[in-house]
Amino acid sequence: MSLALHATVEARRLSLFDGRDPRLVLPLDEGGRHRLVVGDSTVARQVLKALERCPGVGVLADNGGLLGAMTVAENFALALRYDSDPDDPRDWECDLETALRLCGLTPERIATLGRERPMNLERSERWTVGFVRCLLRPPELLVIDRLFAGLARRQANALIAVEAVYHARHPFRPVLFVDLDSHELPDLPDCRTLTELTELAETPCHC
Amino acid sequence: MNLLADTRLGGYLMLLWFAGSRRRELRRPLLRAQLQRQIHGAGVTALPVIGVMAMLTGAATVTQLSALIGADSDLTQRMLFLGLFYEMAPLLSALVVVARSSAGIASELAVMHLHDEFTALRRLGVPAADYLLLPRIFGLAIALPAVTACFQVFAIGGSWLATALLEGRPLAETAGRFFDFADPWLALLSLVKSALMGAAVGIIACHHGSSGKGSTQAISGAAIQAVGTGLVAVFVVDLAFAALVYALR
Repeated sequence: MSLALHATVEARRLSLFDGRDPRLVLPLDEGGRHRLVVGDSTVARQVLKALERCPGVGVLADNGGLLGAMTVAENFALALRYDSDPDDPRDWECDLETALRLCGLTPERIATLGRERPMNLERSERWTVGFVRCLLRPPELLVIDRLFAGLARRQANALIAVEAVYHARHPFRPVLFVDLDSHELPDLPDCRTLTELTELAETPCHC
Repeated sequence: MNLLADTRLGGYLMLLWFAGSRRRELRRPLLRAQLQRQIHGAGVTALPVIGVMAMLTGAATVTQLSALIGADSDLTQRMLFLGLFYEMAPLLSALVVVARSSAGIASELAVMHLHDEFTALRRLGVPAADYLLLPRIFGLAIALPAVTACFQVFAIGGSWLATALLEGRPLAETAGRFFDFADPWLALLSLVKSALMGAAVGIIACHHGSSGKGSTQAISGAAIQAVGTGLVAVFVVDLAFAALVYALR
């Protein structure tokens, strides 16, 4: 299946088109959770490719998008300091520790986490590290890529609880969950829109 | 133009243009740290091998020349400078760096490509090519002349020691005779040649490491191609400089 997907941002709204038909329209200044359910991984990849081309869109992969050759601390340093102003007085270390605590990590774990390599972390911990990065430098639209694939319901609910921190901290920044169509998909609390790519229509979410 | 870009040579030239046009990005503190790491990896950690190899090469060369021509001969001193200092030092240093770093860079980049880390970097807001390729290319272009300079010092030192031991002549006298024939411009040219060899090796390793197909076989393939083509590039640069010196004389 070949989809000519593309996305545009106009008047603070992101639109995802398939050819000329808008499949998804998201306001970028109202916050909240949105969900896009796609048929398979190929479609998911094409959707992400289209969304990533839009300025202000950040994608968080299910593995946290960390670089394996670096420690967690180096990953944070790269993400937080690459484009930052050297004269910026912001205390990243303090912010980072607060964010990690908000995401449920214990002080003991935070003390050792920085020296670990991403491959030594559990999957949910890797994702949390990537999530904290987004929490500290939030994009205009955060796209969470297939987070629930292969997770048990309890683990999925734990990550949804962690994700709530983002809305509490950035209430006007929306989050789009891109999920594969599955009968085990967990419910998203306060989900504003649910879009199924195969049906084209955008329907109110009843999840 | 597209046809050229699709070829391997076109890929190298595009990477050369990219490195030249983006060199100012190396002022960023994180890229500078990467550059220092590459210089350390390709240069400083190669010094023990280079030191031993250079001492042995210097000693062996002067022993052979003394046996064939005589340690007193002007020709021996001229061959030490032109053959060992100007020609062999950059070449052998480049071969060591190709063997150690070229395969390492290509396979490291190929592994990152396989794990989709180029995309992960882009998603972090970090231009993957700037962060991964620039420090590696410039790191080799800086490290190789430094390694070559060390090779030259150790090799000539080894040759003087060997002469002193074989002929029982004072070191100062041996050194003085060598400096009578040493041409500072050629010494400088040997370092420029090394820098170009380093840049060529870096560009080739980065090209093969980052343009693979993203499979496990591509990792070994990238390393093999980087080493093979890197060796050819080193000899091409060497020949080009030999031709340049010949033309200038």
